[in-house]
Amino acid sequence: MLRHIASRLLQSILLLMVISLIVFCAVFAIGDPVEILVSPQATQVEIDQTRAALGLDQPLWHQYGLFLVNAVQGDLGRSFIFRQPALSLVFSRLPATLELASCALILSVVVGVGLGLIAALRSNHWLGRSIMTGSIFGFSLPTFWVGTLLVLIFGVSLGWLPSIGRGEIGTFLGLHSSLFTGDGWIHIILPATTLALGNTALLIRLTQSGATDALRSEYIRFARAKGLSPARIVGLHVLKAILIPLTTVIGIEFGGLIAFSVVTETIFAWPGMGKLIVDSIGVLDRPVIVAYLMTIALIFVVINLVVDLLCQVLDPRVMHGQDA
Amino acid sequence: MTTTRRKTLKLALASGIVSALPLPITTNAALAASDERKLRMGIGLAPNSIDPHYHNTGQNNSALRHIFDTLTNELGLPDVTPCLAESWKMLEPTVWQFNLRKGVVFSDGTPFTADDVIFTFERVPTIPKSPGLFTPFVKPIVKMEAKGEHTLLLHTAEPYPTLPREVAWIQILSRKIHTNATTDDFNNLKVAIGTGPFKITNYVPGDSVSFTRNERYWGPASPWSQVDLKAIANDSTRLSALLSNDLDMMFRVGTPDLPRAQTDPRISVNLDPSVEVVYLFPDSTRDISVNMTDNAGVPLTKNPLKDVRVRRALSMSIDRQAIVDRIMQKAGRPANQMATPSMEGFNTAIPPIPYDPVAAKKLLAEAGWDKGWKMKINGPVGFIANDDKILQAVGGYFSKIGVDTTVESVSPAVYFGKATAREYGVFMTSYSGPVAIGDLKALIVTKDPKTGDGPFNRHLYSNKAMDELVYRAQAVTDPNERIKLTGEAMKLAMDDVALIPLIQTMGSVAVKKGMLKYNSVPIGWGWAMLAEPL
Repeated sequence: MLRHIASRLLQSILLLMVISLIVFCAVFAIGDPVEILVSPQATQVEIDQTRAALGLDQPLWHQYGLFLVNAVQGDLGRSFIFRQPALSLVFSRLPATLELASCALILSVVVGVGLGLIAALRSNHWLGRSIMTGSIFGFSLPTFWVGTLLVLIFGVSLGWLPSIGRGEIGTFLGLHSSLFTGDGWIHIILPATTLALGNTALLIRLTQSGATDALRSEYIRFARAKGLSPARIVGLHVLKAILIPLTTVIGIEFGGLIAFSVVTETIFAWPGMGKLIVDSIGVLDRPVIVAYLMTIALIFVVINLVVDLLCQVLDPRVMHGQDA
Repeated sequence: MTTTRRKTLKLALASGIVSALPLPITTNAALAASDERKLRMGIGLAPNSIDPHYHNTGQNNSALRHIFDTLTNELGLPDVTPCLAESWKMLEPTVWQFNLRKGVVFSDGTPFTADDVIFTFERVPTIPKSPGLFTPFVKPIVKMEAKGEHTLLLHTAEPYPTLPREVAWIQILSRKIHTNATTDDFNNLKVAIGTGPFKITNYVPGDSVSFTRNERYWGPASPWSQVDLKAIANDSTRLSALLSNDLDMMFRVGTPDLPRAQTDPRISVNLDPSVEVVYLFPDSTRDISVNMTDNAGVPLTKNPLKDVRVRRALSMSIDRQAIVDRIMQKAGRPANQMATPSMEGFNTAIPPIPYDPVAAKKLLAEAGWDKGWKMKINGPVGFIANDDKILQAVGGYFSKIGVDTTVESVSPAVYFGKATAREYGVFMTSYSGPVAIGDLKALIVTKDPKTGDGPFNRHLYSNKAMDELVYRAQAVTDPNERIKLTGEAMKLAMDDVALIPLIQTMGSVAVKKGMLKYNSVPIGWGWAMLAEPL
């Protein structure tokens, strides 16, 4: 187990290095940040000075070498725009994105798995069929359209919910989060719903197909014959059977929610990482782009590791298989 | 085995729920008294630093003026207005005297004196790793003298009649508070202390800034006790935020939303003149240009744009009024020169550029290009409002007079580097004054890396007669003479079609009806100081 984790960590370090190299070269190929940054009144002398100050007058391999040397010391450079350490900039926006992603995940799991189970149990009923049809809308409708529509209905027309921003931040056990205040919850409902939509649809379909399979299996029929209550059959045995594939998908989706909440964050002006990366790409703020992508890669690696371990815990067959 | 595991899971779940039960939680305090007025403004871009000398951008200059002051105010109007300097006069051609306001203190009580201005100007060029310093504004100054606490003498190397305009861009700090202050110190608000009408309370980079009223301000106390600037880049989202009462006012209504916003009963929308001119830069200097082929597709061995008649024809082929009416939804005006009417140096004698495709075709024939040619023109997307649509319209107009034009719009990140590298033949961009001579000096005066002139004269246009007029205008002390010379230089440049001006854009401000009135200034600052509660 420990060796497994150690080898995974080594792999992830290699992955981070490769990502940083690719991003570096890619941003270099796109264009020149200095042209965008410099003021209209600047003279050629100032433009050259800026270029030298940001280290952009050096050849690419020199810039990358410098970056590596600093990176191993934990310094991923300073944002060209904000002059703040790129890594701390990304981390300062991480809580907001994590809040959004977590809420979206919980929402999509609860609603998705719930509706998926209903669809499986009532597959010939109109309820089951309409849930499955409805799920198609879930992953076909583009996020920006759904988000804007929700804002128009609930924010502008009805005025029930705020249309932008994150709520007030509360403190609990030393952690700061807007989820600790009522105002925070009001602000997170619409963005979380928008973000959760695609996932919910996916989980409905996944749960429905997995549950349908499980319901047809021998041991479920045996449990029914034995007289176990339907609630226990579904709530315990069926759920456990579909938990492995579900966990894997949820893990991947969670990584996706964190990395790609860009559209939702833009629509709702949610101060998360997604908005930061879009702004940074627009002005070619290379240190932030690199720091962001490396952070995301790390998050994905950690999530995959956790999911793997979780699967081993959830399915004793896997563990016993190893012993034998 | 299973029972134990299930019991463990149950226990873990239960303890998780219990520990998440609402125990006493704290929230950040919001406002104090409920009868205090709060203003929530929606802006496009948030400042990228709280250090006022760090980066010369519109969003920084605008937002930070809530906490810092300048000697004079640049509003895009013919004259600068007093701020920390009550009056100023030229003692000799190379010496300006500024009489500073008395009784001004920084928000922590430190008195403001002439020595603080000297410290501030000395600090300006020293900011490390700035993406755009303010040095050009203080460069003309070679010596500074404080005569007592409230008189400042600025010496320049050569006569510099427009110095009061230049100092309007430098926000003033205190020697006592800000000696050795780094940009980081400003960003974590440790030394974000100024003489302005507000004090800063919160800053989230790229997202928002919050201010509270400065009770020690030298001017009339602001009616607003708290001001929040919220940056929302997407125009429609910003408008929705206003409509759903998450903002009290906002800047820049997106063009597709403009007609609807103007009729919405909840808000009122104002269109105000700006100092931005959108223009095309034709490559009139190279013998063989790029992106141009003859009608068969063979690259041209001559450059049609070298002939002023061709440039004039292209300019006349564009229906600027139609662009304003249909693309900008009337939020703009046709431009006939590289300045807008409110700017100092605008030449009222220059006639509007006619929309005359017939005469344009005749001019092309005169110049020997009646058969036309094929060319590609370039523009940014997302840099100017409706930039890609304007470029398409221009391409269409050119094609109508026989110049088969295709358009290419790319994001600013890619665009400006290529434009400077002259990979484009005709390209579109904009410039925002705020004085006519500024446009001329930045875009049309012969580019000289040594003196720093013509930094954005990308196609290296050079007209010695015009340069001569601009330099004379700069040096002359009588403002009327300066305006006259600037106007002459502008006419020369426009007659020679150095650039093809397209339109002046207009700024739009939307406010909650009945709550406040916003008194815009042409330069487009987003200031709570300009918001008047009703």
